[in-house]
Amino acid sequence: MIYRHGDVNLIQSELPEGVKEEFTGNSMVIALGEQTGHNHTLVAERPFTAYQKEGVRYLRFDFPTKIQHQEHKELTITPGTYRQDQERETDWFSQTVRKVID
Amino acid sequence: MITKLTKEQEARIPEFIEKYVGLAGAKTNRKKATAAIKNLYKNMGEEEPVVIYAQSPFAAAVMVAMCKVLFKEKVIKNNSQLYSQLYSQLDSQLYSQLDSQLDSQLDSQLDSQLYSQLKDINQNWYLVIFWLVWAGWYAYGEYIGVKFDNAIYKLFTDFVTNVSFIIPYKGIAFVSENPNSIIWSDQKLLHNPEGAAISYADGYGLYALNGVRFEKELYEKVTSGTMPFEDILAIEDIDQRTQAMRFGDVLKFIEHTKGKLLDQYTKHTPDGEPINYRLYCIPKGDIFMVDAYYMVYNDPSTQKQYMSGVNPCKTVAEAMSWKLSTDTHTVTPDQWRELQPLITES
Repeated sequence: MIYRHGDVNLIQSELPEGVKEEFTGNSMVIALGEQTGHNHTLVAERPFTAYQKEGVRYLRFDFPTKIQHQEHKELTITPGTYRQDQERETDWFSQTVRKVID
Repeated sequence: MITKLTKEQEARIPEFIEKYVGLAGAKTNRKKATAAIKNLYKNMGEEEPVVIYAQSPFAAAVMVAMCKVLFKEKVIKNNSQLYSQLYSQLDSQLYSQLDSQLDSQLDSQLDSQLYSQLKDINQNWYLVIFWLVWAGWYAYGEYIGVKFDNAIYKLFTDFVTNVSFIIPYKGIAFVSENPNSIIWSDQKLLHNPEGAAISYADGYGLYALNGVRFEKELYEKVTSGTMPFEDILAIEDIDQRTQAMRFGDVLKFIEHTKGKLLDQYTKHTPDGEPINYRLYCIPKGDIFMVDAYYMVYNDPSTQKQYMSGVNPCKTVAEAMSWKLSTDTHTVTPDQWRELQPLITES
């Protein structure tokens, strides 16, 4: 299962070994737009847990969880473990690939 | 514990938002602002400060810089205590009082409505104006029955509702008056295509289009309507680029550069609204040194048109799945096709 919410992607995956717990709670901003101040926020009635490993965030939802943003419509994420990825794009002027900056 | 709002309480949310958002652009009452600052210093056990007013945050910063040069023998000492006082002592106490009496879902729903508007202003500087979000939130909390410590509540509210920008030092505080105009879009985003979205009396301003902030120089180029499209595409920030694209014409640019439509794909929202995706190849030439591949697509939520570079590919599904992939994890074209607008993609 994959969710695409603006430039933030949640990809269902296994929880790798050696992750460190980052957060447990009902609400968490997982991405913040530099220019707009908009943010992608997870909101759940029951706590979920975020983990980190080597700069990658993993999210464990035991219950349906909503992802919200000021512009993008709310999506409901089904329970499971997800990896958080950032969309990428090619800058054809510099001929480099970069993460989408918003 | 308050777990639900009555219909009457819910109906009054816009009134609180309007009031506290409105305070961001209200004329500064120097008497009240000075009193609030002095009370806060007193509460910290600091000597009463001299309060100096400027017409904009920029002017206040210039004053500080000049004072540091002129009075270098008597270096102005930072007063970092003020912010820790605001945050760790006043706000955290009010917040814990509010949090303990309000259901977390209700908290999140109400807070986000105020926060989304006022934080746009805050991110430009070290602005107290940001705290209006909390002042509005606490005022609403009080209205629905949350009990606060009155002294803390008054100290906090008096300060944040009267002072929008302060550079505090020991014995002296530099304060900017409020902006004399703040322009919002219909969607309540900072927005003015004809000048500063936030203007101060001395002419200083902050520029924004649909909530996206711009440095003045870039803003002027973008809104002139004469910015070459290749320059628009070179804007690194995708939100700024998307706003700038509204002043340019994507199709004209593609026509001008002899761009070739490689593939197109349409998805539909549950309501049947089409979401269009187009993949173009723009041949190397005056603008690009190599063939350049671009996706032009609509956001399912806002219908805003995005244009984003992708690695060479032949189909929309390949291009979009590449965008979703990383160096270590691959999303397949089929996985992208399975994404449903407004269900799993927005």
